[in-house]
Amino acid sequence: MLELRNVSKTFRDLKAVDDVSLKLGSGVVGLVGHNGAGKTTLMQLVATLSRPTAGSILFDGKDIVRNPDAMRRRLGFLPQEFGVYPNLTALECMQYFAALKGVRDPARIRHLLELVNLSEHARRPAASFSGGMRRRLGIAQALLNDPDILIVDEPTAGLDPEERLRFRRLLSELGFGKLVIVSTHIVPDVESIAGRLAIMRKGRLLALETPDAILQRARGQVWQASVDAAEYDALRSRFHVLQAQRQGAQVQLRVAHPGLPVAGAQAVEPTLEEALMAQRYALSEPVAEAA
Amino acid sequence: MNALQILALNEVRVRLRRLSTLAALLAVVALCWIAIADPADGITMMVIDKKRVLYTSQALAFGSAHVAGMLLGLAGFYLLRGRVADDLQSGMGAVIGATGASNGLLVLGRWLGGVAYLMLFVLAYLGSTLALHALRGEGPIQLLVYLQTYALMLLPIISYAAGCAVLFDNIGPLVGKRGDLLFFFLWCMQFGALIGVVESPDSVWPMFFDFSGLSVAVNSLREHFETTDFSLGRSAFDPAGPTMVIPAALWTIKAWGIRAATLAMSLLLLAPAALFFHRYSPDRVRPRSARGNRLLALADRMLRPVAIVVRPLPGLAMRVPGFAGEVLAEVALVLSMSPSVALALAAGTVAATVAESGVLPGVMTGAVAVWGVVVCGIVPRDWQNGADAMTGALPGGVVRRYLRQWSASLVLGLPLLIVALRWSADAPVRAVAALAGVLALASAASLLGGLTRGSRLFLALFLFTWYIALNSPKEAALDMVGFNGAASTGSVAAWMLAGCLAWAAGFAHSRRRA
Repeated sequence: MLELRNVSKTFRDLKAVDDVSLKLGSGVVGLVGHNGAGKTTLMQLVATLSRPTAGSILFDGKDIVRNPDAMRRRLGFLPQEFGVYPNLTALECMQYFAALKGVRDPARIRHLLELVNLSEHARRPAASFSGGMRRRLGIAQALLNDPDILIVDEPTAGLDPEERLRFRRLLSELGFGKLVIVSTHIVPDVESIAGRLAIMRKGRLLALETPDAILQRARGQVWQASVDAAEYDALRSRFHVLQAQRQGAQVQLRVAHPGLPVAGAQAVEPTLEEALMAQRYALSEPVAEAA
Repeated sequence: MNALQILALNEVRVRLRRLSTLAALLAVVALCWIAIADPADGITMMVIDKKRVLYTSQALAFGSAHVAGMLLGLAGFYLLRGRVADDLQSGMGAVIGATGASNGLLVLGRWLGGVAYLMLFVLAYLGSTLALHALRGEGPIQLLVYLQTYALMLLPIISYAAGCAVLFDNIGPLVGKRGDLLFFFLWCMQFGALIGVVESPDSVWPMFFDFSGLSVAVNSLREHFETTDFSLGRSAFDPAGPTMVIPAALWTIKAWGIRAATLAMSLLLLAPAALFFHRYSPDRVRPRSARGNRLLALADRMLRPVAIVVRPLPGLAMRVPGFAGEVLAEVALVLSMSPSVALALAAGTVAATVAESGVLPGVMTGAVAVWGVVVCGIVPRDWQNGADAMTGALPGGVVRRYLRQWSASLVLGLPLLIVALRWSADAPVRAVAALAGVLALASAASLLGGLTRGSRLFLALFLFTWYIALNSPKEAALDMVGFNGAASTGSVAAWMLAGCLAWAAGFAHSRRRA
């Protein structure tokens, strides 16, 4: 469905995307990486907002760099910063985007507003919406043209836990028949819904794997231990500490390390976030190996 | 409705529900009432060959259409501008750019919406003119005459203003204040066509490039009355002197042809607007907060000596206690963000201090224009840069911020205040006029900036008034800071009162937001 071939994007001296190649079919793909890893730039390239400095992007075999409309007609896009016009109601916002996307059926707008639980608020000014409601309105506009590709950038930023769960479920359901690319640096957002994770660091694609594969590789590399507070200070500089919780005079640690880090440490089942950290995927700079 | 209609309707809706629209509508109605003076007061709207033109339908349509054209041709652009900046700021731009809507559809929709929106102002202006005709008219109301004249004079200028707004918004480097200033110069330049027509009666070509239609109108009047001695606006006349009537059939086929061609030319602007549309590509256009950096870096490099002088200001502001320190911090922020403003302030201060007294009106004219362009951005700045909540939560809150920013506007008017000081010995009325004007303009900038959360409404009204004032050197009411030397005690009092009202309204608005 979507293929990137040696795609690079350079802003003056900065290589924001560096020689990325990948092929994606339907399903939810999580695009993860640290801040500044190049996720947003890569999504802008796929969304045809920006043109790559080198390489090509194909959608169903068509070069969308040369023919961006081939993508735009079948694309739904929700950027990280999705504001609303302060003077329009939710319905008017949807009508506006429907016009831009060539959607003529008013029933489609009603259906989508119902889908995202906004039908009761359709005639309210969108500017009065909470952050979660705005995001829902954003996803509704992205779905107006029944897109084959849905790109959402940091979809859960600023949402409360309930909205976040609702959003994840919605994206997961959409991924049954479409390609949904979710960019985030919050790993739990994609942990339960993404079939594959594309991991970026410093503009490069480090891996495109299933979450299970990443977890499998990290097993035996994440340890739990309880150490003295004084000992913790010494350990902190030697090991990649994932979590530390003080409990009286002791510090409960979770550490990423290829071998037994301290006597008495126990190997534990890693979370996906820990697995990524253990494999240095979520760091902008690799951590120096322990002595 | 088809896509084009929805896009155009959206443009109208988005703007119609802004407070700036209401303020601009009130300004339009007020201008109409000021322009169509009551002859019983010894002032009239139109004089030809020293004879007062009777207030018939053709005369009122002619005069009001031109005044409306001057205003909407300039203010209309600024009212329509900024849609792309809004889209970028809100993030909607990325969504729009990623849709399948063609450049042509987007451009046409925005242009059509802009024209429709400005037509609402035309209707308001026409309504006010008809009301004044009923009150002060000297002939029957002939609606068809009004509609003909308004269509002939206003359609090309409105289409041009809307076309420029779309074109400038669609070309990355013109999205910001550079585009605003460039348009003002273009607007002024079209009056060159009028000079061309007056000096060379046989020349037709300049009239095609005069979107305001003034040159066509002057040419038509000259063909009828064989004179170029016209005055449009508020002019004194001899009540015992003769009067004259503009014929109902003033417009010739030639005039209609020229205006139709000018209208067609305004549509040509849409071609480059569609061709060069950035489609919100981050490669070509960026939000305000991100956009400023490169320019600032360039300005910093070019104006390094100025930047060095300005650098200690924030530190100094920290050491100055109380409100004065806050005002200094505000001034420091303005100067640090734009070293070119610091350079202009320094140059203006030097010129105001050392220039010969005969040159001071010129110094004042230039200095007030630069100052107006600078201060209109102070109040909306926090909102536009996403710092509104942060600075509103500082001690004293929104109200103190309003007072701080208003005071900073005055401090930045240092060259104007120096000129006022130098005038105070020889021309006290002129000096007070300068003070009253600075106070009124600073208050208006703060009020409109706060109400609209943008700088363009003030900028449009200010530049329009400034330009008209320059061309009406004998009109006391328009002598905004005394640069024409025409201000009277009454006009100074009026400016002072207007300033106080604007200040109080701004203060009340900030208290309501607090």
